Amino acid sequence: MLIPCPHCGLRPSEEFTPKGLAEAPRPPIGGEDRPEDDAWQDYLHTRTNRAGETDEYFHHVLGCRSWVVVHRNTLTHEVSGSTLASEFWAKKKQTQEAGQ
Amino acid sequence: MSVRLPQPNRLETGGVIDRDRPVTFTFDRRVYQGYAGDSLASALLASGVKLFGRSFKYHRPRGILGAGPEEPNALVEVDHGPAERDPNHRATMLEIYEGLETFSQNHVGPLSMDLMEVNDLISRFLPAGFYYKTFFFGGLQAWYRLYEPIIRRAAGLGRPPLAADPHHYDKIYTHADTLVVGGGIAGLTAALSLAKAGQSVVVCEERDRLGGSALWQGETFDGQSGADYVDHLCREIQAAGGRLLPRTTVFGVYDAGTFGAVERCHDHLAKADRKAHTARMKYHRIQAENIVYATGAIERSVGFKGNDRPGVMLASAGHTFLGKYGVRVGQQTAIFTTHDGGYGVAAAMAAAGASVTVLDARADADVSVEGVKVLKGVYAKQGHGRLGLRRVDYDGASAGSLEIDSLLVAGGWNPAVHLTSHTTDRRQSKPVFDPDLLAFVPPELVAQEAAAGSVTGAMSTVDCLTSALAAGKKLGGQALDLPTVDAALPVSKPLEMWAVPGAGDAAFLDMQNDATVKDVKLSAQEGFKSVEHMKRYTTLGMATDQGKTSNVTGLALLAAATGRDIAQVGTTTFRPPYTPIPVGALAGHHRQRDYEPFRYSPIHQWAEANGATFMEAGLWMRPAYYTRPGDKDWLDSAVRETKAARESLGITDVSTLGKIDIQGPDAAEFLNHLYTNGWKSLPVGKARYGLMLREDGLVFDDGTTSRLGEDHFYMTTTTAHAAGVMAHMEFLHQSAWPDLRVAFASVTDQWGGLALAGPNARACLAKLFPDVDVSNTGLPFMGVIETTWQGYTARIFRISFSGELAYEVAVPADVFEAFWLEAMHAGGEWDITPYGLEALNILRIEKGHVTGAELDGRVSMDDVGLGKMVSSKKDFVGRAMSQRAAFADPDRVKMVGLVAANPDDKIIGGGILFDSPDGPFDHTTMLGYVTSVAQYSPLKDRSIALAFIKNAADWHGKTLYVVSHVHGKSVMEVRAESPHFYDPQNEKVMG
Repeated sequence: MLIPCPHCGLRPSEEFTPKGLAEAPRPPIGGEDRPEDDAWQDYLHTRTNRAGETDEYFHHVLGCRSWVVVHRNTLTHEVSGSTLASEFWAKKKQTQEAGQ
Repeated sequence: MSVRLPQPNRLETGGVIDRDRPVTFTFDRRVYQGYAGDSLASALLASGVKLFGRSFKYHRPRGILGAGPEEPNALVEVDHGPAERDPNHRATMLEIYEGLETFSQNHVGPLSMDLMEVNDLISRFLPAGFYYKTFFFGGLQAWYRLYEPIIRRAAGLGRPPLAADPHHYDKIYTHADTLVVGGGIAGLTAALSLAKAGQSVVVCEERDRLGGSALWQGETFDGQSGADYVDHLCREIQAAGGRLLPRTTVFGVYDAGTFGAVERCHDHLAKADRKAHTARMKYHRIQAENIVYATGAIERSVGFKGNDRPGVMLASAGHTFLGKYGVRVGQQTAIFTTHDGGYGVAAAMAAAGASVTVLDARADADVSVEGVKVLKGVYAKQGHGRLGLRRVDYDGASAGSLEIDSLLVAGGWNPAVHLTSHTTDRRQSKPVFDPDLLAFVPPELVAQEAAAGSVTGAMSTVDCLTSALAAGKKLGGQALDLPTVDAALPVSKPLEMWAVPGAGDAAFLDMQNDATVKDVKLSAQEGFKSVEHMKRYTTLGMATDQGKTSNVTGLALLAAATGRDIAQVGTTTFRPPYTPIPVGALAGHHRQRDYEPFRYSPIHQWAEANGATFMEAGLWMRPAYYTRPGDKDWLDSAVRETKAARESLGITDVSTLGKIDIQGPDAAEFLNHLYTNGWKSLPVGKARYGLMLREDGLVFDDGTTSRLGEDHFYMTTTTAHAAGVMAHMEFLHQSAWPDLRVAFASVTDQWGGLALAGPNARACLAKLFPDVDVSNTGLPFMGVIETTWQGYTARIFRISFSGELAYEVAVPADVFEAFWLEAMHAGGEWDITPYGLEALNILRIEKGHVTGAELDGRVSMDDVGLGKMVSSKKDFVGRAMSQRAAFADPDRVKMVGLVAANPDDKIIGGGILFDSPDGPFDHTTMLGYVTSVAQYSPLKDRSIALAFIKNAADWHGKTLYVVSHVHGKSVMEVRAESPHFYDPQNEKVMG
């Protein structure tokens, strides 16, 4: 399996460590939030595990050490692209706003 | 060797072997000779050997079935001593070399009189499913004690090596535009087409030579011999930049154009010719945009009784031994064929001087060969001859017997479609059954794939070449002029005959697992009608050969037995590896300490030279204790070191702690997010102890972080969590707070660190840094000074893990040893004593400091008594989740100190705590558990421990009992108290 790193290009998967699905952003720091809040449940626990297109965190540990969100189809294993984690949530928000 | 040993079945001429280079080897301790270029199978057949091994289940005598990787029977052990005993080599793939020693497998006593052959005599009682049904009686105990040992003795595939593999293996990344799997005439033609178009091409061929059957089949190409034409193709490919890898098996196809291949570099060489520094095998991880499957086809047999007798083999095998090796497998030969292809073999055998009869299953066959007797509409009914074929009965349009020593079976061809079903990333289709060809062929391939040669179902060489050109064209190759093929061999579609009429018992399909025609019928009868169920019930196709010669026949018979057609039954999914590969080849250099290298402190050699005994801490080797003359044992050393630190001056190496340099205008804000306590108010020149939680609210790591400048911090982590903390920080910074202006880097390896501890620590430090004010006012507790030592940056931290007046000093790693030596020298007047992890452990347990044993991923801040380290003024990682109700549960276990009641007792780590010495000692009465133990505390003059217990504070001053179920359930009395045994007011560290 090859993973495209936005900095380093196509690299073998052995250079990366997976973390899991990037399904919800971390709730913002500074809040008065409680453990039972949906935002926390979504961030820590809820995993839809859907068959098809997914976004997953990978850490390019043996490369540039970027956290990368990899777009992968779990049915075909096709990797369609990746986004730096540092840009992913802002871009996703923009896309969602544009869609509305 | 000047003596020439007899090779009665070797012809005077022919074959692509090197007759000028005889090779001597042994099989079952007997000495034989062959020629360079021989396989073990061809050399032994040339020498008149027919019997190669015993079958897995019935221990039937077996010879050779095939001539290539499909061989199910002739598995041998290569034995060059306990470490180099390598079982399950296919004799057909094993190239002989001078000094090769081989042994047959799976028999008790000599190969010709295997004592386990009794299994064959009772084979009617051992049908498929026999084990499942029979060994059910008596329950699990009977299975373990009685049945399994007997079965394991009876069934087996050679003996494993008994020592570590002495070879080494390489792993390399190989890149290409197109990978061509199979270096036969079709693969080479496709490769040339692509290479000429400018593509980088790699051709992997599992045999020792490129060219496949074109090398020896006798067909000519534009008037050249096959061997010459192959040479021409290879030269052209290489001239166009293509790479040819013989002895390289592509064993798996993976996602995104990744392919696994193993190149055998050593196994064909005499031991003297193997260079110690070269790898036995290379694992190629091939990355290629496109793939050409040019994997060829594997012939199949036909089910009839006794079709496993030594001397019955595939027609292609007999042809290969004759053409490639100049070995005539028999003198009186019959060819049992279902198609015209058998006649090409018949003609070749007749030309080699054998008397040949063709048994053609087709009544309407319209092909003839000069000098060969043909019986039409007949089939082989039964083979006779226990240790070697003597007679074959035939039946059909006419019936009779032939006194023959060899029978070559041509049951049709199965394209080697295995690799086309390995991955699903580009398409999810499996090989499809072509009812016209009576074979599975590759499914519709995607744009990056093409198939060339007989894997497509093409039978004639001309069709193979045409398909190769089409494959090249599909992937962007250049058109080529195809050669004119003369002396072409006859081909036709086969008659559909999977098993002969009446076949059942002892009509073998899977020779290696002894699955018969009868077993498949029985499977259908018992309801195992899915091909996957049939496979597991009969074990057909589950041996090391993975049913290369038997799968298709098995499912065709299953289709017939269940009244379905073959396409409906479908095929099982082929998975990697295509052929067995040594695990060593996949591991490469990732074994033992090459996989997990030791990490050494800059003073490792000094510690070694000064009596240190090391222990592993993650990858690090850290001194556990330093033995001095007079020390009785390790504990004696550790206690001496502990006392030195408490009473005068100890020194220890803390270089292994994780160190992270953090800089940026938002560095303090970033730390505020990471740690539970506040960091913005920390002045420059001060250190602070920090606690990190995971997002789920449990404790992650702890350490001290110092502020070296307004925007500059120096963090330390535990040795164990250094990498994890770094990844945690990177994740949060990048995924959650990318706007924070902060950057950080691991500097663990850049700094060496030592700790000075004890009442004389300050005096020693003053000697090391005479120009620095290290008094209690100049460098108070938690103070930090950045200065220089011999012109190098030095950082002095007044922090203490031992509970004593203590300092940690960090200097660049490359001068750390020199600094350490100077500290040893400076401390001489106070008998400075280096201490290791054992003493460190006693010191910190006496002080009640936690380490990984306590911070085990299950504890909250309150559980370890650090709840006060939470800032209520700010948010931090883990804050939200640390408010979970379960964390406030009064039944939660929290940290407590334990002191042994009896001075001679040593508390047992991992012991369970109870409030009564009478039991029962189980989960209903357990109160907690022991995490860290000091076998002897000088402070308490006995063993002490840290533990976790329910309602911890309530137990202070009370008696408890430690029971260890793994230490004979001895009951030990202990007294609970605060875990801060030593200097709870912190007067020592402050003073």
